[in-house]
Amino acid sequence: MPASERGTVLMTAISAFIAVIVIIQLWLVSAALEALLSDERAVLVPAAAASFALFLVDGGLLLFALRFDRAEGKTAE
Amino acid sequence: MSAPAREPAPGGASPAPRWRRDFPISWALDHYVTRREIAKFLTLGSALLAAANAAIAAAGAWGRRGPPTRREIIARASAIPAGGSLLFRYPTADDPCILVRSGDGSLRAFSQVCTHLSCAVVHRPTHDELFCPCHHGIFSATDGRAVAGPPTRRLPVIHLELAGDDVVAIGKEV
Repeated sequence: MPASERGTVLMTAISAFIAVIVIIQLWLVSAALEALLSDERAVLVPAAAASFALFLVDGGLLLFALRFDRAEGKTAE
Repeated sequence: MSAPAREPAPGGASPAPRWRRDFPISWALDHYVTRREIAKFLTLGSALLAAANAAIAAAGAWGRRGPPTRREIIARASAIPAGGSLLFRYPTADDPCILVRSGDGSLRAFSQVCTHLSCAVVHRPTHDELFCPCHHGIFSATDGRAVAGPPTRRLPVIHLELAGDDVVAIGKEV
């Protein structure tokens, strides 16, 4: 498979994965707000930690894709 | 089907379709969003959502603690018969509450604000429950938990103490 095609497949997969993670984070925000209003404060810090961990996964995936581009000498699709 | 309306072109050139004038955007000049840009925007959104979650956690740790608990005489116990109820406000004038006497004679108090959409609940002594007439939510008059209808959270409980014949509210548990 040529590098450009591999890059397209990779970016599509990574974009889809990041989108799924963002949806999970949206759910986490709404659940945390609901918990705050219910005064169930015990779940707030784990929810924030999980959301931060998901952001790190997102950032890692993006960095991986950008490094792949650099290695292949490609700057844009 | 009628042909699309065309504007007469000056100088006899081929007329442009009318939709082109209404939507004068050229494909060549359009701004393309690449997959990489989408991934970057999504990651930025992910960072904002993580920050929002952190802000919520911070608000939970240091934010709203509720008004300080205070003792307040709300009724005379002898004035409430079995199956009766009384409305009062605690801890502030903006917090409607309901005091109920169950069939067994025990006194209990709850916030009167339904946890679904904030309608006022009423006491139904025949079923020993608190009923929300807006969407038919039902709460137990024993502990305030939601037992039927749309509400999922229990009613906040007002802790009571008896001082002689006085019913004293001593705190609110959300």
